[in-house]
Amino acid sequence: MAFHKWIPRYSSSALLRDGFVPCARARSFPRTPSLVLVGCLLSGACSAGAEASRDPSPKVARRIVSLVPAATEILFAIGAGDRVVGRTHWGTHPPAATRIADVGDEVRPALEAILALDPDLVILFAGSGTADAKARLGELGVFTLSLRHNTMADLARNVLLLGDAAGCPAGARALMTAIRADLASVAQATAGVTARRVYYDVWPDPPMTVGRGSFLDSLITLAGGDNVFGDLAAPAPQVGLEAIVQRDPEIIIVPVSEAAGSEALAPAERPGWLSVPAVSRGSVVGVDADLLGRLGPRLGDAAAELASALHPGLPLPARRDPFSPDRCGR
Amino acid sequence: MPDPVLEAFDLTYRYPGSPCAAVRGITLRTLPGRLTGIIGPNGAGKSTLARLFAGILTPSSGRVRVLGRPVEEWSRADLARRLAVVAQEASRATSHTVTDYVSLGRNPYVSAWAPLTTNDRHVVAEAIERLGLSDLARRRLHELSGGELQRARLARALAQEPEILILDEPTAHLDMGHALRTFENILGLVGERGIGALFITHDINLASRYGHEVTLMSGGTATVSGTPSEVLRPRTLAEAYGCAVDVEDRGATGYVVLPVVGTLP
Amino acid sequence: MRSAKGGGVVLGVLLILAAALGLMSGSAPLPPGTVWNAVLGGGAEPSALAIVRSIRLPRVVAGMFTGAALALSGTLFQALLRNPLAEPYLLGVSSGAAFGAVVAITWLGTALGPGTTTVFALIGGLVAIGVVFRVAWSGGRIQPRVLILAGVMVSAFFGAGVMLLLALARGDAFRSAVLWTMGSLGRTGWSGVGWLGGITGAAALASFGTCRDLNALALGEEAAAHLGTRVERVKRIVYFLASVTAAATVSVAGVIGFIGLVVPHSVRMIWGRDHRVLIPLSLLGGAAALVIADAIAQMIVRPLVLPVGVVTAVLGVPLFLSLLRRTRA
Repeated sequence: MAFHKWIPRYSSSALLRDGFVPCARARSFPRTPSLVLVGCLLSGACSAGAEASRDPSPKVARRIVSLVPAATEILFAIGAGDRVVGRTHWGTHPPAATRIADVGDEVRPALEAILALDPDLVILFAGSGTADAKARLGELGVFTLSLRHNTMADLARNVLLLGDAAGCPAGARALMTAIRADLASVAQATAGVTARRVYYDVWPDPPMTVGRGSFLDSLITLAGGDNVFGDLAAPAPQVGLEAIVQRDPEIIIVPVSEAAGSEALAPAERPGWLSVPAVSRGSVVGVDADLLGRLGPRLGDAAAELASALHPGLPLPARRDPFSPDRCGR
Repeated sequence: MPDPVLEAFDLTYRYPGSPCAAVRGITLRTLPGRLTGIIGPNGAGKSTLARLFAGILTPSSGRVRVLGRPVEEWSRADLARRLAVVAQEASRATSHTVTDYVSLGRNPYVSAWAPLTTNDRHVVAEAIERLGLSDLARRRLHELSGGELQRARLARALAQEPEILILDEPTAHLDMGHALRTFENILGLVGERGIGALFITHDINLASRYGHEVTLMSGGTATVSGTPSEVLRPRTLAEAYGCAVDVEDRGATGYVVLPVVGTLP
Repeated sequence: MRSAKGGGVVLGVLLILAAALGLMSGSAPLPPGTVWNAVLGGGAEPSALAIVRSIRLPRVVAGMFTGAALALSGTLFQALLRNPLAEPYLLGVSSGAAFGAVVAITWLGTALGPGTTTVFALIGGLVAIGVVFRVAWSGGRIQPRVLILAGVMVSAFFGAGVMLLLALARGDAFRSAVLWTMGSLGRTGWSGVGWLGGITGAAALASFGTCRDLNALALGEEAAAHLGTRVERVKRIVYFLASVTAAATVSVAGVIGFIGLVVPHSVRMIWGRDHRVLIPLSLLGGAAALVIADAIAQMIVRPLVLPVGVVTAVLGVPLFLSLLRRTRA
């Protein structure tokens, strides 16, 4: 399945909307994007699924605090890296970002540290977890942009939104094109292989995996895999161990993060997991969690990583560095 | 003279943290087949004395002997097989039947989880009958009247097959009819089984009627000990109780001791 | 009061039915016939066999031992403190164990291997037990009133500690720690079940030896002494039996409330206060109750699995209140 069919056309007027219209959520894969777009327009407005705190100024943001690591990467990739003045503790990609001030955790950001940087835009994860921070920042007169971080459609919106916000729309479009090309080449490389049934182990206890509401599910399919829980709608559903045993995946993929401190137990050591045939066979592969968890410019690398985990030895396109040193104009 | 069942020699006890001794220099004995009464005003140390005799408290100085042996040398179970105490307890709070409650008296004899033997059940049934509780055997304790409950307590003590009985205020909340019956029961048990009984009471009248010996305690010491006629003198009692008393010997009915109205200092 | 033997039969049957229900409950839908075949060993497909034997069976057995241990612990604490509201929670064991577990989850992860959490939880529970005992023990006696107060304070202290650790924890560790504390029976394999069973069995046997003394203790400490009970010795034994079983359950299964409070109460209301009856029936009742609660936890929002502590709380309280009303009326 080619990647480009999944992204509905982006509408720039959507940047200004508060609120959210479900039609634009890519929970199902629209086969006819134009129909979706028409539907959106008819229903009154197509929200990008992103929310801005208020009608933004027509100016471009010059001092951006990004509390979303993927957004940090996107900003660097579109040439706006010099506009980023603050990042979260985990936003250490690309290497150039490490020189930027660290303002703490993405879920509980340190408001004072953020304000001390005098930002004109703060980027947050969308969701109830950051609602308080968003409200406080709004009260203090800081513009915020909340990004959803679940699906491929979210990626497209985010890239273009960030491009507009940072004044680099051309760079944004170029990035999307590049990402699509990356993904297409991985899809081509895996075109002929038989899909392997996969369980993607997000968290061991209670067992959590990815459903079709997550971009990882799309990546798995792209990389020549078949997510055994792809029928579940939620992005990160909690499942039972028994269900895993019953669905009998061929291979288990475990995201492993060196940056994070505590690691989860290997599946073979978890009580009861040996009854999953893949575990007792040793058919467990680790992948880089930091790479796979980011809905950003390195998505192509992420897909390639998955593909090599699922189909070792398969020839894959060479990885490229998406972080151009170019600066986009002011 | 038979050996005393309970003896105290120069017994002194001070509660921890208290400046003065609750019991001082008490020397006392109880003989088998006899009733020894202890009377005195509140705070005289009577209940403390009972607890010292029962081995609950350890004397600060002096000795307590039960059946000739120092009380510290008795294990609790052994002691409970010889000495039964009838005192204030939370009986009503439990939902025991009379039978269950009286069966508790067999605790010193049975091992932890084993059921009661036939002999145990026999003893319990006997005790219930002796105290006239057969009709009430299945009732729960909180359904009993004050008098019935006191009889149940006596039955439980009896089920321990004791040689010694210590009774702390056995007639405390009873009307005179029940109080009388209680003492009749105690006297009967003492006579039938040769038990030596030590009782503490506020009821001077009954103490004088039933006690073979009486000790008047005041301020932790035994002011005077002896037969009721020796102890129940107006001046002795007035000093102990802090009010003028009028004492009358009614012979078989016992002594009548009344405080004189209008004479408080 | 109903007869004890009848009670034993009723609760025994209830336990067997509960076990059957538990084996048929789980996140994967398996028809009863398949479960039956898998239990007996013949003719079931490998995934069903694996599910029933390696996941459900240890879970159900763990539930039985945990429920029995919790009910025993509650019964003993209620006897010791002569207070019908006493339960393992009250005296700090659960909070201490939860604290130990959260330390393990948020700081150590699995750095020291699997079972780290269990060990730390056990240590936390034992520390709490020791502190409470030390505070309440003076002059050679355990003072029940001080015990309760010390327990409540220690419980609060460790509870605050847990909150502190959670506040500083990363998102995923946070979630894991919170869910751990809510109780789950699926966390141990057969080895954990084995040692929990051993502890529960040993504690149950030891507690049978205190039955008559506990009956006497209900009359008051002095009255019990008059009846031949070695009061302080019994109090110490009972305190440690109750605490250690509670600590063992929390370290294996997390914090599961209400079983220790509601089961002994209910048994007492129906079958009376004689501990020779109360203790065995509470063991059976606790085992059955927790296995049933776990079956509900597995099924009610399938394929998600609720923490069993949630189910015991939500169901336990109304059931208990209705029983209370019926008995009083």
